[in-house]
Amino acid sequence: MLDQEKIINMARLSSYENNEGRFDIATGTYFRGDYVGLHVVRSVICATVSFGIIAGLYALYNFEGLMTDLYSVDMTAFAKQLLTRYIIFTGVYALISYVVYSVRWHVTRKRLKGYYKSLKYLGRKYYMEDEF
Amino acid sequence: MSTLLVIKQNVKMFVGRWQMVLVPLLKFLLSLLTLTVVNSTLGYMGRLKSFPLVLVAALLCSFMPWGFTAFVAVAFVVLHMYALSMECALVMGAVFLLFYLLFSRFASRDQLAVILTPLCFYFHVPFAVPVTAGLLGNPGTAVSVGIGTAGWYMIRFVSMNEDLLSSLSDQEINQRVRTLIDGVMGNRDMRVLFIAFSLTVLAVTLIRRLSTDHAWTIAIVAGSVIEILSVLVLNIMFNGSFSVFAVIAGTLAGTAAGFVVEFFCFNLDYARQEKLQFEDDDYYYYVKAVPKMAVAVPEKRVRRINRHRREENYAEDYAEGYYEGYGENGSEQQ
Repeated sequence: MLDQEKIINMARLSSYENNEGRFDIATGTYFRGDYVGLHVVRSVICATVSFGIIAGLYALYNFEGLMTDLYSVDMTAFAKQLLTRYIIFTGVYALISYVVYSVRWHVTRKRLKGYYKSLKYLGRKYYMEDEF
Repeated sequence: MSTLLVIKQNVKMFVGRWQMVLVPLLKFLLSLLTLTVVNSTLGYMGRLKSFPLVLVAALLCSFMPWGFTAFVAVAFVVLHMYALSMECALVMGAVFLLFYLLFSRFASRDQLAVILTPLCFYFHVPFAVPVTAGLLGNPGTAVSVGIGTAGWYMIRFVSMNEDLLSSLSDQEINQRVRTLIDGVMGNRDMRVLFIAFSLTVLAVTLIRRLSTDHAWTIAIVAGSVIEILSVLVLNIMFNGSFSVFAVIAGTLAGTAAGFVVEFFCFNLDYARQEKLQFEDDDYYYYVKAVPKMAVAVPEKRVRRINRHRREENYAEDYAEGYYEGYGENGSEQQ
């Protein structure tokens, strides 16, 4: 005799595993600090590459001006200014990443809790069937 | 209403039964449409416009995730730009890479919104995007819709200023880059829609998640009002070029699309909702259960009026003695 409730439960679990669950289960293997830290590091790398691209585009845009001022500009002050901007840009982006990935970890954890609860329920049902 | 519900059930059953075929088919058609739109809007590289190539690319996209379709579309755009001028390709490629590095990481599962937003712009229904995207997506979808909007305006700027960009000589590389960056960054309409659409998607997503009655309906109406107001206010602030009538008409079309989405995805019967309270050792539970609106699909019963042709033939053959020696059920007679 087919147990309709069990089949529905299994279908839901399977659907979750094939869609959102794939990402969630991978996320669930991390501690919060590790998960957020890893993504913040990735964000810093992305921000560094992006800052390089933005600086490159700015240099391309102001090519003539930069060439004219190349010998008259104070290189130390220019480097300091560039570094300050890089730190601010990367810092803000890393902060946003920290908030986003912290929230994402908590939401994922909540979903995974429900998933494991359903799995436990299913396991108990199998156990009951075996017993009786 | 019951007829509509029956149609909805039938559509759901049909989609469920043919999902394995329909999803790749939908991906194929959307990829084909996207690449055709890119080719018709830009179309500077002759080779990319060949139909077999577009067909093969679309076929490849039909078996891949939506992100791959977005990647192929961006590759087509950059290659067309390269045919126009190398600086265009360089700037566009850099901007798309920036979008990917800075924004797509937060909305990696919403590539469909990135593809659909420029398509809606092409078909002159951009105002339908934010409400629908907000209903079906999450807060990260605001980023995807913003990227789609910015991408469309970049493509349109190049296609509208094609003569200017190609007429500049090779000695004026710097001028070409300046024209392109000024044109893209200084586009007022893009700024207006980028902010307004992102705000609307965020508002719709946050409201529709509330547990109040008719949350989706409230989200659609509130989202539409926010969209109209934000576009009109930002239009004045940035000195944009949108007409009030076009904004209102477009948003109303978006509202209608939102109600269609609500009917298919979140159609609840609030009249039959139940509120329960119970407790266990650790918690006190306040539960609100709202049943989905559904009707039983009437089953079709086929009653045969004429006898089956094979049965008739068998009866005739039996009468003529072809089955002599066999009983009616085929058993051998002694």
